[in-house]
Amino acid sequence: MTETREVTAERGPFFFKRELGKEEGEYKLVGREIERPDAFSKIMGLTKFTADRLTEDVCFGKIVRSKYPHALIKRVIVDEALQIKGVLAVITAKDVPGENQIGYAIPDQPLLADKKVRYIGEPIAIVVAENEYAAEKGVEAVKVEYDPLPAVFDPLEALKPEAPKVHEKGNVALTTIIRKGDVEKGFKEADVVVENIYYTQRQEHAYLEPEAAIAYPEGDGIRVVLCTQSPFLVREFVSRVTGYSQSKIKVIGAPAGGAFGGKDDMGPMVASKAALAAIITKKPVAIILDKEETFVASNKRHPAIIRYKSGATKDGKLTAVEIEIIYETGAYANRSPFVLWRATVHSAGPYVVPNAKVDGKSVYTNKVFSGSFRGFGDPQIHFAAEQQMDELAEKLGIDPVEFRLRNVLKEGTRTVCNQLLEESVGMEETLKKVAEAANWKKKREELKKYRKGSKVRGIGVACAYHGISTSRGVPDWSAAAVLLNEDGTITYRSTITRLGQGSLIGHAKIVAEILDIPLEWVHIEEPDTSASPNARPTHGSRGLMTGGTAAADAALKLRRTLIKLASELLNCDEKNVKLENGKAFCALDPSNKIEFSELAKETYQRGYQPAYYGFYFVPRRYFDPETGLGVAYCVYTYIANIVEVEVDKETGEVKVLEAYTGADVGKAIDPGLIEGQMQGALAQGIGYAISEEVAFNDGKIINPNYTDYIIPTVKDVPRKVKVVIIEKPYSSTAFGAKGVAEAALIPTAPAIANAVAHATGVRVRNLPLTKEKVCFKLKEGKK
Amino acid sequence: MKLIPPFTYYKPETIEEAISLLDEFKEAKVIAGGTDLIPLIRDGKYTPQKMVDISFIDELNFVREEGGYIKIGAATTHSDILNSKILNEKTNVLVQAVKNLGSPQIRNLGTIGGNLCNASPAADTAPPLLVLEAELLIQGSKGERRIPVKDFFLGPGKTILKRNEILREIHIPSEVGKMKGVFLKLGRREAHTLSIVCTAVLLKADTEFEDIRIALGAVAPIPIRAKETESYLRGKEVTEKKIDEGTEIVKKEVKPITDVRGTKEYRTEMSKVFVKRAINKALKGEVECK
Ligand SMILES: Cc1cc2nc3c(=O)[nH]c(=O)nc-3n(C[C@H](O)[C@H](O)[C@H](O)COP(=O)(O)OP(=O)(O)OC[C@H]3O[C@@H](n4cnc5c(N)ncnc54)[C@H](O)[C@@H]3O)c2cc1C
Repeated sequence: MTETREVTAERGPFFFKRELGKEEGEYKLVGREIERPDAFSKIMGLTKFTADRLTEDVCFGKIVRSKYPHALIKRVIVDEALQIKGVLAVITAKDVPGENQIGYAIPDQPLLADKKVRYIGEPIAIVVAENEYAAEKGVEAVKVEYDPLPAVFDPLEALKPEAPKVHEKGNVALTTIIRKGDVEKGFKEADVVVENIYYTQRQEHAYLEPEAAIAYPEGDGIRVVLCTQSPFLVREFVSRVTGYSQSKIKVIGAPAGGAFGGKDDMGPMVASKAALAAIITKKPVAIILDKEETFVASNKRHPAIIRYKSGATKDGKLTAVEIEIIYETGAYANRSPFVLWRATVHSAGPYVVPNAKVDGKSVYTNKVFSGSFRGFGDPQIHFAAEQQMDELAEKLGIDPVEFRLRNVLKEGTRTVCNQLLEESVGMEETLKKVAEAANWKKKREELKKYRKGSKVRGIGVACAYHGISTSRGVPDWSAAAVLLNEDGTITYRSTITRLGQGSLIGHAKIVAEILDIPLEWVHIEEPDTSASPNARPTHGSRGLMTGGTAAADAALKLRRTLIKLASELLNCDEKNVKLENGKAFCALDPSNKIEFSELAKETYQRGYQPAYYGFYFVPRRYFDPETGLGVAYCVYTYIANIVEVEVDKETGEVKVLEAYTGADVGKAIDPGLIEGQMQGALAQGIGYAISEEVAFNDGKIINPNYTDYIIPTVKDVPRKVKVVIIEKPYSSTAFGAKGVAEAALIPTAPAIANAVAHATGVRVRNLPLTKEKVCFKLKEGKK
Repeated sequence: MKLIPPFTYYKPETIEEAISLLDEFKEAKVIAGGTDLIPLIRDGKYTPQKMVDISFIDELNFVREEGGYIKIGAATTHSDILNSKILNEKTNVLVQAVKNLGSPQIRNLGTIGGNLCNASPAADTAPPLLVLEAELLIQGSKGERRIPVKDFFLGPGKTILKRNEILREIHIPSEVGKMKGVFLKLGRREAHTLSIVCTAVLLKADTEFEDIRIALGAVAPIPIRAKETESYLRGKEVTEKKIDEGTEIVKKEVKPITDVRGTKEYRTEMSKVFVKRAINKALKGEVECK
């Protein structure tokens, strides 16, 4: 096993300083907060989301869904539906020209169920009609004859030999493993051992904009417009399902009204159905889910059951962890191979643990499938890991922050997978700075004494780390295009999508900084697979880190060309040519200059290449599936959250009064965008911690609406939130940036649970910490 | 979720016109703010062919004091109640209930009449009106009738209203202004949510409970008065012990169910906690609003 990392190109902050001939403080855009160029149109409602692009000629597809959690399909009778005025077609599995298969890593999921349904809400047929009403009537008129099968709803039940089989191969979709050191020896060395079981629930993404796609037959090909996190992945699936070659499929990524991982998984599914309907009817067809369908049939965060045993010595050093992880994947594996591996790899938290035995299982049940969701397996495992840390600290009589600091990963240490961390490891600094901002020591003492009526207060901490880019060592790269127009403006192309996070704005800032031109000169094109190189998905907090580095690569190539050209035009040595404020000049005589627009024209006139393709290949990772050891991720973002809570002991209400959230982001390309992501992730984490839970009755979701699925409102998030940005640059990326979008969510729930334990002395190991649950747990007393 | 089916929309300007439309069309449904009705239509529970919108009728939009009553038109929005000078000054227990009802958008559309006529066990305006012993003025084609609010609800989604009748006005006796009122609500989050339990308490007390009225929502098929608790406390000395003993009775008076919002056990426990809190708050005179 080799340990040297392969780095494709040395980039990072030093490289950029040298290349641009500037100190970081001289950067005009990178590192500075700007007013978002898309803010006005968003606020004014001018942004065109997918469903805003409907035109008169577009037909509607509506989906016939399973009414049973587990049943054989005997027959699908469509005749009556076809009689309805306006209904154009009813599409079932047998009409799929290509493969009826949309499993992500494991081919276990049909686009349209043919032989069997495995959850309530599973798609069986698509009714296409000239208008929505006819489509709705058509859906009601399709008769599906079922042969109901016994169903299994609980992952522990599903693991029993006598359980109904969701899939032929059995109910274990996959397993994961880490074997490092000798756990028996590790626990013998421990002075204290803590062992607990943790439960986490299913969370819904709750984006305002439901999934939507419009497909247009065009020439001998097809164009699909949709809210997606990965236009090229959509293209791959549409190609698989329709049998069209990828070159004949054009996918446009419209701005999304929230995505959070949900649209990563759902994009290909909805787009494939719309494309199929458009091809069969030869008409443009829109499929727009309603909110109930999203609740019932779109992927959710995996519920988890985690048995966690950990040990530490008297002087506060972790010696071993032994962890069993069960992630319920529901009816289909979807992203589980990646989610479960990510959880496994991060299972020890951001700490040095010499001995580890970790076993993960992803288990099928007859419920809606689980999948991608901000944090991607890490919030569940950190909920367990970080409460374990607090309990160990308590048993040892060490302050929880201090105990963590004695164990945190640092440069030169190894992760639980034995990965040597060589650079950009900011856990220690992040935790210290966040603790300082929160006035941790003082509050930890003072709040213990707080009591007003039935109300008590506490403060809690949790850390986390999160590998950036793909899991399981899957090769990852990104690409972008920078085109210089003859008037000196820039056309920028990438297929990183617009989810509200602003990645593309970050890319544009990088391009403008490198060329030293005003940001307004960089025009960001709509992500389009027919015009842009493949930037790969907008997930894994990779949109800025990988996509932005590809943008930098292209911009640097153009910069070098322009310097060469300017040298020729100004009759000035290349090393003395400066690009500044949309001009090129000679450093020896600044009056010897040329405007950027002039430079652009000359680029064409003199036969210089005006457009560049940028590419970034993420440093290779590898791992041994037999031991789980290896290089799991090229780099990690490190996070610490501290929250102050108030608990009403009579009602069980938990209120987050203040929150401090910090992350080592490598380099903040835009502190404002980072703060937005951290605040949003924190709010979503508060929902996960306190009120959100998809509830079932016999496999049927009983709260598929915002009346009973409780997301936080502005009144449920703390008034005081402080975001702390730590920069430990990464040498492989543009300016040293890492990712941040998922970060703050991960340690939010355990920080709240730890704060509740500090306030009340009672630990809740079962998410969410609803009023009712906390109330009864407090009555039950300490356990 | 269903699409909103096509329907014929009527916008009468007088009560008379509205009633005659309801008389004429058996399939017509009254709509005010639509904040209860539209979600029900989208759930497929109603498919009205005709809708009579009463929210533009001036005669249904007012708050005024007259003849010993504070009178509220049924189509008055929650926002207007919240901003009503009369209600804020005379008896603000209703204002307290409306303050956290839904969100600003919902309060701008939703009406007090709609809240009552929808007959949700969790309707937040019902407990205050029960303790205020309000009367309802109901209008039909053959004239009007008055009934105490306690007789209005028959069960979840059911009232004594006939199909072609509308709720016209809510009358609150002005003399209740001398009592102190408190409304409290427990939801699954701070605001914009349905009650797990809500309660209104109206009392007059110095060293003893001269008078006390208690009502609760979301803990029985209809909003209820806790009469036994009231009669236990009435005339008793104001002590922590008595309040605790008295509110223990509430637990027997409520008949909650277990649903996705909360279990029977939790609702029962919380009924006591919230009634007790409301009493204590009223005694302290800690009634802030706006
Ligand atoms: C997001 C949201 C949050 C909410 N939060 C709360 C809350 O916190 N607390 C709460 O109590 N409720 C809440 N509600 C429910 C609703 O907003 C209120 O009940 C509101 O007062 C209903 O009034 P409306 O005018 O919108 O009624 P509509 O929907 O117009 O009508 C409701 C019903 O009453 C009938 N009706 C209306 N007016 C009359 C009349 N004058 N005579 C005869 N029949 C009539 C209608 O035919 C219909 O059946 C919420 C609703 C939403 C959508």
